[in-house]
Parts: sequence; structure tokens; C-alpha cells
Amino acid sequence: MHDFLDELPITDESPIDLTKSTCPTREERLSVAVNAYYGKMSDLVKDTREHNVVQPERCFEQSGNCLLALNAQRLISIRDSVLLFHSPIGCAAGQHSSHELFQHIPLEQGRPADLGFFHAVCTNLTEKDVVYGGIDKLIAALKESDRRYSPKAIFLVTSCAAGIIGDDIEGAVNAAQPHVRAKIVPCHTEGFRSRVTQTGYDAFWHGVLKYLVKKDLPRQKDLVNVTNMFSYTWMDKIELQRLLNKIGLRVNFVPEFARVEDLEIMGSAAVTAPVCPTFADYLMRGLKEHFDVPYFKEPIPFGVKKTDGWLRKVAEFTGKEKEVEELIKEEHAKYMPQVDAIRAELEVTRKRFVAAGLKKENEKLTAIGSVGQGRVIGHAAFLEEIGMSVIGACTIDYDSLIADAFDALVKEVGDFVVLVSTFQAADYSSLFSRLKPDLTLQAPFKGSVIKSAKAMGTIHYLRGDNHPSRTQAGYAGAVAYGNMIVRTFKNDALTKLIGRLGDEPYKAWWYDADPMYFVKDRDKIFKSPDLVKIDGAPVHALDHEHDREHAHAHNGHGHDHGHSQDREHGHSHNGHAHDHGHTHEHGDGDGHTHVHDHVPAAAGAKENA
Amino acid sequence: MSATELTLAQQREEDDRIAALDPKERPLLETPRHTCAMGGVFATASAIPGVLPILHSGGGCGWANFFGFIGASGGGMLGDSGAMMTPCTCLLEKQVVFGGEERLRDQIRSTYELMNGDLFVVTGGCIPALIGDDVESVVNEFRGTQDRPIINVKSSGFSGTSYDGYELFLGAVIDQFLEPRPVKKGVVNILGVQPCQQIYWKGDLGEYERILNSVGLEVNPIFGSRASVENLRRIPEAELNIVISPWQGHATAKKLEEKFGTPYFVYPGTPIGPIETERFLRQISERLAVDNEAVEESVTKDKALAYADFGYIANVLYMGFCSTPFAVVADSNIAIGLTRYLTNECGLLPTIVVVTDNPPEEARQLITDRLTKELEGVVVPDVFFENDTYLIQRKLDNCSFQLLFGSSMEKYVAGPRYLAGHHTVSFPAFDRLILRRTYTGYGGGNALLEDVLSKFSRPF
Repeated sequence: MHDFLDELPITDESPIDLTKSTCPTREERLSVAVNAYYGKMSDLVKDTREHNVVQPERCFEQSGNCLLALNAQRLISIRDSVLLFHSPIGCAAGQHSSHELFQHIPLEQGRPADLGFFHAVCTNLTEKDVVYGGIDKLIAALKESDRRYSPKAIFLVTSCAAGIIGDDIEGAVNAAQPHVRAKIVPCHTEGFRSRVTQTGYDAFWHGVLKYLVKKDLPRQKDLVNVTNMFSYTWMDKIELQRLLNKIGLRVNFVPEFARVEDLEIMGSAAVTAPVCPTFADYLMRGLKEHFDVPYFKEPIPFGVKKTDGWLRKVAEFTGKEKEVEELIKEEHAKYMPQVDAIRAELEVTRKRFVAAGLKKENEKLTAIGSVGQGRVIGHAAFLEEIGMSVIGACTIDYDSLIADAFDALVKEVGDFVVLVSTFQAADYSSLFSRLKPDLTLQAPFKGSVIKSAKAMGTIHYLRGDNHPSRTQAGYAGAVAYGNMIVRTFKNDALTKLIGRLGDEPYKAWWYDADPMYFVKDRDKIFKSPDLVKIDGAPVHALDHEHDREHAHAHNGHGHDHGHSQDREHGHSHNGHAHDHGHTHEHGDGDGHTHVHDHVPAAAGAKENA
Repeated sequence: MSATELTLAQQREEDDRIAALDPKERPLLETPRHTCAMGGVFATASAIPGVLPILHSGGGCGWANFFGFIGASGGGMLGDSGAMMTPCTCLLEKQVVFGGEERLRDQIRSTYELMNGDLFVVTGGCIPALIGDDVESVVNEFRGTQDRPIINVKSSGFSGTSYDGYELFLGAVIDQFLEPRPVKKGVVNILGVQPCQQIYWKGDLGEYERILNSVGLEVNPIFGSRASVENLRRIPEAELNIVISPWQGHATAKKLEEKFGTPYFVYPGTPIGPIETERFLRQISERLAVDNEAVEESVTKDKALAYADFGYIANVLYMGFCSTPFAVVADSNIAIGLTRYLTNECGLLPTIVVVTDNPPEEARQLITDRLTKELEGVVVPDVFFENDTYLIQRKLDNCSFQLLFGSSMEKYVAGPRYLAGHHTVSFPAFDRLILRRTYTGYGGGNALLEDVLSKFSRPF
């Protein structure tokens, strides 16, 4: 659909400079790296190729995430290491749970005995430290971490406070290293550095490449680095290991569940295969550039078709082309009947929806899902594979690294709406309420999306999940994840109940607004006023019911929620005024609802902006 | 000096040296049982329906505190305002360089436009405190101009702990929000039971209310699902503030006394079981001139019920845990309540109590007294004040016990390391969901035994 754009290649190939203390941010490194976008996927890709994606400034934000918080979650599970926060204590609070992440997994299930005894320590920066500097404390903390646990490595992550007071991290590392047996790996994860939280992963990989990966190890032709995320479970590890073992390959899983040694030997592997391509991008490039380990970015092993492709790619780099075809044949024989059963079950559900007047005869069940960029590729292709239609996807950030994959995806499954938003709960609420998918895949804590959901499934499992039904990767994962989706439609009592609960964070008008309503200069940045109109996107008779609820909610909350007051504060609404008297067309009889010709103008153009 | 060069004895010496340092002076702190001051404000404010915190901080502060503090307290989330829906300025390098005041102004304005709330609470993280944002002035621009009250809690990540956050929030409410009101006879507030930080707070507050109601007193609920901003406004109506903690809530109570003349009464430690609960109720009744007959009737009835229930499981306790040595790792309230109940009513033997809430120096003698004096039997526990997980384990290493009452951080060391049964009674509590569960009150001890014995009862 955008073939001509392939002529505009994305050339974001900057060298990985390990002489530097850390990586550049994604904003610095790439032509496009943003955490706010709402529009068609095809437009996003087109704008990326034309270098036309703008990072908007938001007036309203909610609890998001940062380089440190997301990174720490991953680093904690590296065995025989210590994770040291150079920060006030709150930054480390996210790891209060670290001791309990994996120890419930029975050793019989292959858990190494030391997977679970993690150590999250913190320099506990206080008022005195921010005045006089935290360097002495940091050096003492590095020594004390070494004394307490004799780890193989100490991953040192830095905070906003450490960054602002200007502590010389490299100086402290150099001063401490001679007295510490563990290898110290500094990761510059000051939260304010970048709005693209994946910069944090790059900062971690930079430290790993610079300080841990060993040079000049003999090549191990059967060793595959697999970079996995914390949203992939113990069962995913088992599944990918099973598949690669079957063709005579060994898996080096990093960084989740890894030993420090596993990170050290990455330079000797035959190939690096990602589970999420942008999470591992910096590492894969670095391993290629400095250790001559080749890599590929896609596909990722999510769904049957993509798992086939992922395995074939791995085989291509390891000389297992013949074996892999045999493997795929075997696996298909075992798993395809189960995938067919999932398709059939979903068809039964679809017919049930049709019989109830909730769908037209030829309409597919629709879904919105995803979290990170990688999952967009995985979810969308897989949902289509089992006969559903993807009408939207959410991703916590977006950068040009994934643009080609997104482009290919649009060609594969058709166009859909994409919302780029770093855990912005209100954005999600607005999106799901406008698009009303049959299947909502989202974490409830990320917003009140469940209040407008018809059926709500699990967006992803967590790494400590050790039941076979919580596999996501590979063939077993396709079946397990597909069955989760099937189950989601079997009983919606909880979804309905939660939908009725009273707790309501937003004013009623929000559910008809655009997720980018609070972006400054919204109209200039997001051009099309009918963003949610996707060609061929199905509409649902069920909407009438929701509309009634909305109308009710509007009445309940009252409409004049002080907009005159807002204007007092210079909150001018340009364009047609944001009139809560509701000119938009609710329940207009033909089932076309929430595709408003009334899109509230952006709050953006502030008098004082 | 690296670890290999140290003998085991030298290692223990070094442990002791570090343990003796003020926590702020130690080289590091390992998974203590608290978070930062802003996290404390965030959770405390979120525990009041209708109160909406606005975090003026980096984007990850809410995340870390949602999962590591609110989510760690035995309950998924605190309404919508305490979850990932909390407004936050998500500060970036641009604001670090040029200041975050304009960003905060936008945030307050848009929050007013979009979100429901009866009281908005701006609370700052490290960035605005370090770059010197004049948050007070920005918040002032929004004060009093409309029907949306807003207060500013001066906090940061480095200026204190989540315990401080509780007092900071209530202090700001008192200074910036409360107006004098006529005192109403028989109305009391409960202070010192911090949401999230004390994992049984919901049930505890409910039980205090039930006990005090039974003698005709009215509790003004400040926190929990029945609380509201109107209840905050009613704080000055109280005839007495009841502070249930040897140290927490004291600063708030003093402030209320200074500003509104409300006297306060301190009960140090959670009353668990009939003996302590009766003592608690009688002391309060003396302070408030409650009808004696009502007190006698309430005490008689509730004690009879509690002991009747106890009778059903006393045999199991006797067969399974007669004279069993136990260890406690908990905040001072639970540590005192649990140690006194298990020792004075169940005949268990307290070997070691590690108090994890880092109480101020002046409160420590009182806590130690409550943990070591007026105990049945001849066993007196060793008392330590420690919140570093590694050092807590070192203290436990030197002791022998069969039951370990701690946080869920001790869950996986209790068995392999100490051969002890484990039960979570203090923060963090990742292995429990806690709604109305409480060990407070006449029947609280029974509830504790019910939970613990369920895990370790055997057929015979």
C-alpha cells in the first residue's frame, strides 16, 4: 500500500562507540524516536520515512515510566550479580519483590537453584549526599556489595538525583574497581535522560558490551544468543530452548534468567536472535560491530507463522537449514490441529456474536493489544493468524528501528490505528472506548479500559509464570496464548462487573475525546481529524448499549464541569469549541458510533505556551 | 579490602560495624521496608477516596512506588488515583535545565479539566527539589480561585522515607486545608496507622472503629473506602486524637493540638487479643469519660466471644506449638502487638524481635519496654532496630526459632536457612492479599492463629 516509500530507506546506522561512558539516547541516535502518536499505522511509517514524525509536548501526563525503573526490572534477574541503585531509596522500591519472583518455580521445572536469590541494594541518597555529592558513598557501596555477596558483576544503575548532582560515575567505578572482585558495569539510566524508555536498555547493553563481553573467545557455532524480555516467561524459555535443542543448537538466554557468564560469552555465539528487536537492538549491533556476531531483527517467535520464520532465520546463521524444515514439519503436525481448533472455537464465538446481533455476518472479531514495539509485530500477525482482525495497537514508544517491520505488518494484515503512549492510562481509556474492540488486551492497572471492554484478556504473562498455559513464544506459546483468547470470550461476568463499579477517574467527555487531546499544537502535529476511521474497520451494534451507558454517565457527572474556569487559566480551545453539550452523534441508528465528526480541538494552543 | 580476605569472624565484625551506623551513613541499604517520602505521600493521599495526587516528578517514580509500595502492601491498588492513572509531570532533561514550573502549571490545569477529584495534592520528587522549582508559587496560582481545593506537600525522594510521607501529607492538610470546627463530643480520629506501610490498615481501622463504637464513640474515618475529603475536613471536630503507634502520627497529633487544641492519646503498639484490647479500651474510656456500664458490657461480651472462639483451636495450638520459640521482623506496631499476644496469651517464647520501621531514637526505649516488660514467662526477646534485609538475616542467624513472623521478604529464607515456618505480618506482603483481615482487637489473635495454624496444622 505504501510501496513507493520503500525508496525512502531509514538510515539510522550509527556506530556503537564503546569508548564513550554510555550510549546516545534514542532521540539522539535515531531519526525518529517518540512516545506520543495517534493515527494510522501506515501514516506513522510514511511519516517516519519522510522524517516527518514530531515529538509532541503533552500538557497532561500520568504516571509513566523511566529508564531506571524499566531497566532495573530486567537486570534484577541476572543471577550471581548485585543490582546497585545509585539513588534515593524510592527508585529501588520497585525491586522490593525481587526475592519472590522465581523461587516458587520448582527445581524439577529446570529452575537453577540460584535463580531467585537476588540482591537489590541502594546508596540511599539523602539530603546530605545531594549537597556534598554521593561519590564516596557510591564507592563504599560498590565495596560493600562485593563483601556481602561476592557477585560476579555489579550492575550500577543511576537515578535522576545522581545525574543532577553531577556525580562522576566513571570516576567512582575506576576508584572502586581495584578493590572489588566483581566486574562493575555502570548503566546510565537517569530517568530524565530520554522520554523513550528503551534508551535505558541501550545504556545497559552499552555497559555489558563495554565491561562484560569477552573478546577473542573461540566461535561456538551451535550457540544462539536469545534476548528475552521480562514479559516472556519461564515457559517461553523452556519452549524456545526445546525448539532450538531439537536442531542441535544451544540457547544463551540473556538477560533474564542469565548468569553473568552468559553475558560474557555472547561474543562467541553464532547469531543473536531477538524476541523483541528494539529491546535488543543496541546489543545486537554492538555484538556485530565489535565481536562479529551476526543478528537479525525479525521475525520474532510469536504465533506459528512467525515462529517458522524465526527458526528459519536462526537456521540460516547456524547451517541448520535442512534440520529446521524437518523440525517445522514435526511441530506443525503436532500443533496445527490445536491452532485449527482455536480458530474453530473463535468462529463459534463469532457466530454467537452474529446471532446476538452484535456483529454482521461477514465481520471478524476485532482486537486491540500490544505493549512494546516488538509485541505489536507479534500480536497483530498472530491475531490475524487465528482469524481475528486487528483494529488497533498500543506501544509504549516508537522509533525508526521498527519502521520497516511495521511497514511489512501493514502490508501483511492491513492498516490499523496505532497509539504510542508510555503507559498513559487516559490515552488507553480513550482509545479503547472509541474503537470498542471485541477483545481488549491491556493490563487493567494501565487505565480504566476494562470499563468499556467487552472481553478482556491478558496482554502478556510475566517471567515468573511457570504453567504451560502461560507460554507465549514458539508453537506451544501460540496454542497457549490462543487458548487464553478463546477462554476470554467464554465468560465475561468479571468484565461486566468491573465495568459497573463506580470508581471513575475521568470526566465523561474524555471517552469521546481524542487520545492526543492534551497535546500542544495537536492540530498541527496530527493532521487528520478523523483518525479513527480505518477503511473496512467493522462497527458494532453493541455500541448502542455502550452509548446509552455513556449518555447516562454524562448526565450523572453533569456537563458543565467548569470549562469557563479552565478558560480563566488561559486554556483556550481553538477550532470549534469543546462543547460538552454533545453535538457528536451517539447511537445514530446504523451502528456507526464513536466515529465522530466532532473531534474536540486540542487543548494545545496555550496563550502562555 | 575485598571479601575473600576476610574470615567469617571478620565478616561478622564488619556486619556489626555497619549495623551500628546511622542508616543514612551506611554505604548502602538493601531492600528496606519503606520507600521515599514522595512515595509515602502518594500512597497516603491515594488512600482517601476523592483525593487526587499530582506527582511533580520523573515518569518512573509513580511506577516504582505503585509496584514497590502500594502493590507491596497486600492489596493490588488504591482506587484509580493510586494506580497508574495518577497525574504526573514526567519531567525530562528540558525541565531539569529550564525548570519544571511551566510543566506543572500545564499539568494542574489539564488535570482539573480531565480528572475527578475533591482535593488535589501536588507532591514533588527529586527533580523539582534539586533544580529549585518554586512549586509553592505555582500551586498558589490555583488556590482559592475555584471550587477545586489544592495543596502542596513539600517532599522529595531524598529528604525522607515513606513514614515521613504520612506526616508530610497530613501536615500539609492541616496547614493548608483544614479550618477550625466546633468540637463534637465523642468524636475521635485514629492516627498512626499508615495506609500501605502497615499492611492490615484497612481492617485495623475498621476494628478500632467497631470497638470504639461499642462504647458510644464515633470514629471519623480518614483513610479507606469509607473516608472522603469531607472526613478530612472533620478532623478538627474530634474530642481526642488516638495515636496507635509508639512514634508514628505523633508529629501530626502535636500539630493538631497546636492548631485546634485537640488533645491526643498514644497507645504504643497494635492491641492484639483480649488482654491488650481491654487495656486499650479502658485507657481510652478514662480519657473520654465514657459510660462505665457500656465499657463493662462491651468488654464482657467481646472477651467471652473471643475466648469461646479460641477454645475451638486451643488444642491445635497446644499440640502443634506449645512453648514454641518465635521470631518477629515487623514494624513497631505489629511487633509489639504480636509479641505481647503470642507471649502473654499463647505461651509462646519470644526469642528475637527485629523492629523494621526505623523509629526515632526517643521512641526506642518505649518500644523496647513494650517488647520486653510485663511479659508472661521468663523469656525476654532480644530487640534490634534494623531495616536492611541482609543485616536482618544476620541478626536472625544467631537465633533459634520455629516460627518466623516477618515480611514476605523472609518467606524464602525462613525454611532453608532457619528451618522455621513463616507467616507474613509486615510490609512488604507480596504473598498475601489483605482486605478486611486484621489481627487487631479481641478476636484479632484468633485470626492470627487461624492464618498461621492453617499453614502448619497436621493430621494426628
